[in-house]
Amino acid sequence: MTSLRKRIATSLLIVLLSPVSGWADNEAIRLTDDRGETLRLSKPATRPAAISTFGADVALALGTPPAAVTDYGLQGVPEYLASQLSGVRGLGPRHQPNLEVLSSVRPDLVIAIRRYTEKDGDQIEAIAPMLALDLITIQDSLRAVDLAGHALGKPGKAEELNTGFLDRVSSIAERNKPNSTKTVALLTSGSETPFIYYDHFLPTALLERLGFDNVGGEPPNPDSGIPLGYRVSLEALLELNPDAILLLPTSRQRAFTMNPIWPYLKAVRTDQVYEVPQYWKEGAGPIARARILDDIQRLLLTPEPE
Amino acid sequence: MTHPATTTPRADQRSLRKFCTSPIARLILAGGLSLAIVLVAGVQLGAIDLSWAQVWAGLTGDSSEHVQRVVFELRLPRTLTGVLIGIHFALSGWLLQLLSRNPLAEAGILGISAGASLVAVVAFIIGDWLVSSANPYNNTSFALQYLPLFAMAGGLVTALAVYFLGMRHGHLSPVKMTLTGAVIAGMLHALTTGALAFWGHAHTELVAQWLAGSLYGAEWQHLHTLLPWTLIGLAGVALLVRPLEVMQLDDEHVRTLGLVLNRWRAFALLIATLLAASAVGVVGPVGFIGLLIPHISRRLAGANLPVQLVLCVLLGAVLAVLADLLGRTLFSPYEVPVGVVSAVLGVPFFLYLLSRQP
Amino acid sequence: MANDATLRPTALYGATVSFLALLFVVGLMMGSRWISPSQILAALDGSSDLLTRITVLELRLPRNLLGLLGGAALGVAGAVMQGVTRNSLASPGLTGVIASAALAVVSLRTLGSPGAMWLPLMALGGGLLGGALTFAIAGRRKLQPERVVLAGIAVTSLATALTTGLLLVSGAEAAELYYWLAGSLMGRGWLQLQMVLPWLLLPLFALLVMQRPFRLLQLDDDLAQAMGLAVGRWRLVFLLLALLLAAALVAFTGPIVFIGLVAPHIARRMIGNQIQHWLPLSALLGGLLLLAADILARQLAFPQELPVGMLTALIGAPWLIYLLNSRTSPRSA
Repeated sequence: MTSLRKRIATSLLIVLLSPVSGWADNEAIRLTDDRGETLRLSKPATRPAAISTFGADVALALGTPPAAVTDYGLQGVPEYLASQLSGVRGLGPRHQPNLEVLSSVRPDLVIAIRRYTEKDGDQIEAIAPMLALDLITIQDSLRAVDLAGHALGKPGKAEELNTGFLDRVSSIAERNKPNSTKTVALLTSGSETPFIYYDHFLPTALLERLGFDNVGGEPPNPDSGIPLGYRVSLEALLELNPDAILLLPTSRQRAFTMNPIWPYLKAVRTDQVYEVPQYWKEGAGPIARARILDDIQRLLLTPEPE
Repeated sequence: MTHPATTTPRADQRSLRKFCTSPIARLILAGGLSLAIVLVAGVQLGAIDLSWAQVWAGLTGDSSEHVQRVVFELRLPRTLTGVLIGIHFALSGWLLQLLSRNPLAEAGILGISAGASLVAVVAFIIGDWLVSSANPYNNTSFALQYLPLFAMAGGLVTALAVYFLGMRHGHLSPVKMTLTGAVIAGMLHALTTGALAFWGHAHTELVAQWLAGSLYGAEWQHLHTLLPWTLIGLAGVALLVRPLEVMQLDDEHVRTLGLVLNRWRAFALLIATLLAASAVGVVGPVGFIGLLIPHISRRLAGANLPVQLVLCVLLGAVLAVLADLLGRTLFSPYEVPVGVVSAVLGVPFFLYLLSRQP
Repeated sequence: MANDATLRPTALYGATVSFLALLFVVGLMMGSRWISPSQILAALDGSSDLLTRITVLELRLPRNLLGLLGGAALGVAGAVMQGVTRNSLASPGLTGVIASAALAVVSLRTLGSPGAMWLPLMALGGGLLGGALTFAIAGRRKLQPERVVLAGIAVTSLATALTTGLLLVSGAEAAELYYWLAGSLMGRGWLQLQMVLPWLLLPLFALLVMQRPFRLLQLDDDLAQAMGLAVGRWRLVFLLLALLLAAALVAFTGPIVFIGLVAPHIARRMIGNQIQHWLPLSALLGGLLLLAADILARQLAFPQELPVGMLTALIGAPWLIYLLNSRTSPRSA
């Protein structure tokens, strides 16, 4: 056992043995993340490191700017947060955060996307307690914001963000009760081999709550978040023929021009194809999910002409 | 270029002084020196800047937690693992080139990398399915913990298949083994890509990193996993030096020496496979070290097999550590995997070597 | 080599073409839903419902045609390479052409936002470099089969390593690119067919015209030269044509391996010494193999589609191993 590990063990021991009266107190924060691991923080974190967009998003939303963030490589930090993240230390890509830089930043909490960081869990946790989160469904997002709120010492604010979000969703759903259900699909691109998302994915789940019918369908494995969707054959897409199509950004310009059935799709003919920004793909953060709601309102729920 | 061709193994039996000033000694010394330099660089350099004093303090346990962690938990195990995989790949390539009597052979031809890759991808996919379909609070990072073992098993099984299919009339035909290996490797690669494309949408970046051959996240545990295999491999290779020298004679002589040589061939193949598969299991498939280093050591050492062996060990380690170092410092905080850097460094150099061949 | 199983050409062609036609029709019937032959006919003359008509005419018909022509192109490319290098292991896959072409396309898509027109050109450039590199590494002298294969493996490894490296920085595009790299005919319609057709038909036509030089090149170099053939130049021309065929296809379907290797081998076994039928038969068999693989790809994981590259590998590799084991020498006659 290295002296480092001894030090961590000792600190943990001290934390555990310190007077804990059995009800929640501000001294020690205990949280269970999506791996089932328990984190112990002696005090609320003030220097979170974000491995994934969510971490940056929630940190900013709760008013605790992140000490370091991961990004998309050549594409840089997520655009919708870029202005607020200027000058923040970069950690590299989310699946391979630079551990040296992470260590040098001396964070006291790491907010990470679980499926990419679980393998490096030990090494990241040697640097700071890690909150590993699934971040796929609406429930994941609510829980993640709640956990982050507790970890950052702002549980009230987190609660506010969550209830605010849910209230907004239900009010929009109420106001826009449609006469007939509009079908909708979220695709990675309009190319020859589009990937379509299932119902449980946050943006499509939101669409469902707002009265739309996502043609992606139910995931085959409801308890797991994965897979997020499937590669839909054009024949199947033609049969599904959604009323509206939402496309995630892609580097292939006008990829839909290479798609043989594109002109025949109802959504295309009625001009209901919309490009949505990159944060739809990683929408679990409070800022992102609010924006997704904005986008849905703007694109699909324009007030019906009387 | 030094020409130690005039130095036969018997020269070593003469006075120590003569040995120490001989070209061989100079070569080995140069190799050892390069390794030492590269090792120091590996610990000194990285994504964040540390002074000599800080690094020294980190090594002796006398510094801040952060420096200690960077030096002792991140850079040192990573550099040492790099040393080991460099040795593994270089020796494996050297053995295979000798065995198949073809200078373009390396572990990839036995389908080891391809087999290990396929197992890795499948393990990621299945592991995730298992973990997520079970209790979400179940903590088994199943695939990830046992990945090295699975990958190694995959590599071994493939190599065995190639070996057996590479037999002709009861003994190993290097040519047939090569071709079979190429076909099987191609098939496994296509299957791996297909599996990743079809099932791996949520894990693409993760698996991509592994498939590139990467020392990212290498820790003391990896070193401990690999070291026994290194020792076994080195022992095996040491045993093989004499039989390999015999095998370099032409086929007529070899045939008259009979079946015993066949057993040595099989043993050599086994050692090569163990070395390569264990390395691939831990860091993923890294090409070119096994292709390039034997060439260089042959150029430097001539026909002297023991010296070639030593140079392979030294230079393999140097290349791996150097490639990793470049990969993690050039575009910090991003990292170029060691597999990609060694490929980029390897090919032009390889072409240069080949163009100089008679 | 005397082959008792040498069949008469007409019987061979007849059988292959009919099988091909059968597969073609099956391909029109199979997909996300079953369309009966009568419905197909209805679609063709415009009397069926819109969905069936679009499915048959816009999706399955061009897809099958691409499978046919693409497979033929690969088969011919493989046969040409094997013939002019007198190396029964030369093929677009094993000489690094396919991997390099794929690398070029992936680079373009990662580092920029290309228009579709650039893809075939980039693929060709990449394939050219890859193939040239392989033959350069293998040595100017003898071009021994194993050396070419090993050089090809080296070049393929390099291309794959660079591709993987690029994928690591492609961010969100990675999943899409990986799918492309697995090879697929999914969603390829008339537009893709139109774009790839000149690249496929022109070399095929040229090869048809150049039968004599091709046959001569398969003899000994000295003999061919004695008969007035500029051996080096013609070899280069043929290799370029083979490369055009393979790389152009890769630009549109992604890498599809093994067809260029397997089809010529099977053709060779069927025709024995009747070398004049080798190219046409390789073409037919290549088309047949790719079409069969594509149909399987559509059905095996129903309702989803497997990438066709997986299936050609699964079909091709065991067959090749069988071939390797049933011959006394890997070198061509």
